[in-house]
Amino acid sequence: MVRPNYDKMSLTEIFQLDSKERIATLNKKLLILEKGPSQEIFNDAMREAHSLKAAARVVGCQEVQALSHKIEDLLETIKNTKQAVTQSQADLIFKAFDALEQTAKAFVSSTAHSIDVESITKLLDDAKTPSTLTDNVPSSNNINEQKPPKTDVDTMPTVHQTGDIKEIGQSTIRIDIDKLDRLMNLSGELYTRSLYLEQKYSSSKVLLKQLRTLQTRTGELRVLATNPNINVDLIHNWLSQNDNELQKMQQNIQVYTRSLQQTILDFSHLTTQLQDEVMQSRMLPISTLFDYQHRVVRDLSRELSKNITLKVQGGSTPVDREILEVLKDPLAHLIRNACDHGIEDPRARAREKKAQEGTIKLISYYQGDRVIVVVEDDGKGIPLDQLREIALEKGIAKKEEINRYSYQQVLDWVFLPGFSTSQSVSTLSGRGIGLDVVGSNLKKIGGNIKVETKRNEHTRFILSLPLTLSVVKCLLVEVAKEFFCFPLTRIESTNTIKRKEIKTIEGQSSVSIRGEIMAVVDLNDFWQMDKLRPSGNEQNLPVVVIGERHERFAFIVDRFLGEKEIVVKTLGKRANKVAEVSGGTMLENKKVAFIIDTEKLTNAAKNYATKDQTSTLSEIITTTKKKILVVEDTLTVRELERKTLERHGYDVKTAVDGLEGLGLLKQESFDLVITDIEMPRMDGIEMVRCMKKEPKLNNIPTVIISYKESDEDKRKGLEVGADRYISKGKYETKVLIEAIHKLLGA
Amino acid sequence: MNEKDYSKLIVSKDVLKNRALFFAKQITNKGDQKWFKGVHFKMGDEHYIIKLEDLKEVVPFEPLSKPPSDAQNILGYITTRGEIRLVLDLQYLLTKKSSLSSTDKEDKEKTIIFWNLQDNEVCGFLVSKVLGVYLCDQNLAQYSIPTLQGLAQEYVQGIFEEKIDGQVVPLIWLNVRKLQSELDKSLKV
Repeated sequence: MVRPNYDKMSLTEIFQLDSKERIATLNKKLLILEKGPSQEIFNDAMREAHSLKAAARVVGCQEVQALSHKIEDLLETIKNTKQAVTQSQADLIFKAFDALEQTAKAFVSSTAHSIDVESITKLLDDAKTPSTLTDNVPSSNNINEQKPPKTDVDTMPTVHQTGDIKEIGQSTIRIDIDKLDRLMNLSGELYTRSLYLEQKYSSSKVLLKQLRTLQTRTGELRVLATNPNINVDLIHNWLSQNDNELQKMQQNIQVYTRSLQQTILDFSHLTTQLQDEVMQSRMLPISTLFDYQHRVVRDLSRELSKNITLKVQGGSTPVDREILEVLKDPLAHLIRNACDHGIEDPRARAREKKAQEGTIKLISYYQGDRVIVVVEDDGKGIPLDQLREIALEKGIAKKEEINRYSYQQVLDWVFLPGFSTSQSVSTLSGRGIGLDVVGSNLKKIGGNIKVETKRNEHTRFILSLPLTLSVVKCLLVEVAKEFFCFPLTRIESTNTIKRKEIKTIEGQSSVSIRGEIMAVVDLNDFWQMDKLRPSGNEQNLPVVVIGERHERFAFIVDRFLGEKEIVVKTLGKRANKVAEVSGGTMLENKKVAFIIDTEKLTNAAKNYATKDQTSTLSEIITTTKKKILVVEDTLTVRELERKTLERHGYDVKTAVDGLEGLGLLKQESFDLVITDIEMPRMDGIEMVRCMKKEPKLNNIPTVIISYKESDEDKRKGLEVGADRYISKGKYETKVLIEAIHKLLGA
Repeated sequence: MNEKDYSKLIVSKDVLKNRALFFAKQITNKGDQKWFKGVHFKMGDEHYIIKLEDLKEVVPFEPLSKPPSDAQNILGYITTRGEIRLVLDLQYLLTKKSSLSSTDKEDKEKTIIFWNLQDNEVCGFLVSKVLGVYLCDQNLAQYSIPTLQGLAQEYVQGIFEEKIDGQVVPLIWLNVRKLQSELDKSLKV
């Protein structure tokens, strides 16, 4: 392993790194010792405590020195008894480890702490007395011969084994020497290739020289041509020489182009590889995060008087360190929830004939370009009935609708703010805050969370996260001749709207997109960018729709430039005054594209008032929602069409046959009619024929949807005046909506 | 011994060593002189100097990408060496008046100089021209500068008088630390 650049680090910074590693290792060793005695593990732990003491002495951190000394003493005393660590001893030593961590942290950051080091050292001293040592001790006759107990903890990679134990959130990182070698090789290769480019430059100079020679010769020919007594042989001679030169030059250009193409390909390959390698070097095994949870579960088990074990699978999955940083709190929350709400107490488990020991599994694996993290407990599961009751209580769902919600919809309520199934509030959970924060934190980085449960069997939270935050898929747009990126995960949809469709509702510019009214903000005006909008674009304004349900915004941009995978770069500390932007990326034209912080943007947009006041809410609904009449005798088909159209933002009325349809057409105005053919009283063909005879109705676009698929039927339908004929056998929502859009010009 | 005398000598290691010692002695003999190398640049009609150690690099002007911002001293960002770097209006920082018209901002004759800031970040400033490196004797700096108009005195560490193109012009030695602290205040760092 390559050590961090210690030359540039102060002793205190080195101590910070060292102490963190040693305290983490001490925690792991004690977790093993708690399960059974092992001289080897005792020795390891004592060595760690001793080294920590030495490090603390060097930097003058007396509190860490005193604590680690007492811990080492106590471990030695327990080791000499040839017995395992008791629970009460383990509790005390774990507390001492926490005290070590906090005092070391306070020392490094030169801040105060609230740890009573003196009383902890006294307790550690007291714990060495024989009465304490024999308390509830699982004995072992010969500690020297006993192998360390096999546990999940035991199989965890330790700091020193992997060298990857990097504290998440730290600004330094250790890189495997092999990775660094690969980077060195790649950069060396790039350097060599850059020398090739120098050669190419020389070749292009040769070509240029040949071209100049030809130009000179052409000049000579011109002079010759002015001579009336010119010798034709001389011209022939000149031309053949020139032909030779041209052929030579053509060959050279061909060779040059081929080799330049190859160089470009090599460069592209190398730079991609280099980028991948650098990305990889930012990755850490997810065990860096999972390992901490062993201690968390151990402490919670004790606190809740439950018997819980943690099993880890896929701990070696590499994940971007920034993702780990974001994952830290949600994971801690889910683990706490699993311990508190998920796993039952031993008596309840016995009643359900379950194993006394509850299990929490932490699983990680790759799925495409995502990393999946599963937090699963074998507890009581989430009671769906209880969720429904809470939803009714909180007014989230109506009584008459409660049974319409699917299993997944009901489960998703747990991510709503203030939604909790816990009947009591504990220090751990139950306040109904947390899962919504978990969900929104994950969403911020383009992740999502799903929950699955089965009564008395399991609850499984499945987190899906991007592999890295360094590369993001974005929509590149142009505003006032500058470039901006909207992360794709944050975009609801993209559309084009017309300026005249923008109305003012309660002082805010609004627009109806697919039947949903939302605030519209012109980014050019909003940011007061002083450059002119590209001309000719006023009629079709591109908009990016962002936001949550009931709080969506349509942001007008100048141009969509397409989707792009971008490498995220920081804008530095002095970007505070740069509004609603979270970073930047470099484009091929060397310009910077600014990455939009959609959360900041929507928050800022909420307060943004607009100038035009032209109509009211009711007007906008009536003016923007197109009205469609559906004439269909089959209830299921009629309802399907109605719901589909309403979902796409249309105002729909229905009729059960042609006669009723015709009656409605005469009473109300419609923008479009959709009809079946075979219906009682009056069929669709007859209804369309009647419509076409009525001057007020004959301009209404008409679509026939029928099971009759023959060419003859289609011809008949179109002949009477229908604009489209869609056969039910090939019916697809997309086809229908596209036909409607075309007919309505939307 | 003068420069010409050396040309007559046979060049050997000893000669070179003696020559180096001679010049080294010349500098140390000046006793209380405090020398520093200053980067000399021009902004509008004014000449400025900053210490060479405060300079990261000088790059030719490239069109800037302007982010949405109400900070008047932010000119935009450019990309250099795989990084996105902020470029500021130095004139605005010094006088609270931007001497740069919109055409100036696109002026390809201009240069961007990048300074090392105290927190290891790098920040760019748009200037008219970089004229070179100047060896300055701190003792010759004047500290009373009544002739400078509109320039905040606290940013000036001293003034050197120098003959440029036959005219004596003041070289304003900028206090980079003070400028950074003011800059950070304005950018709410």
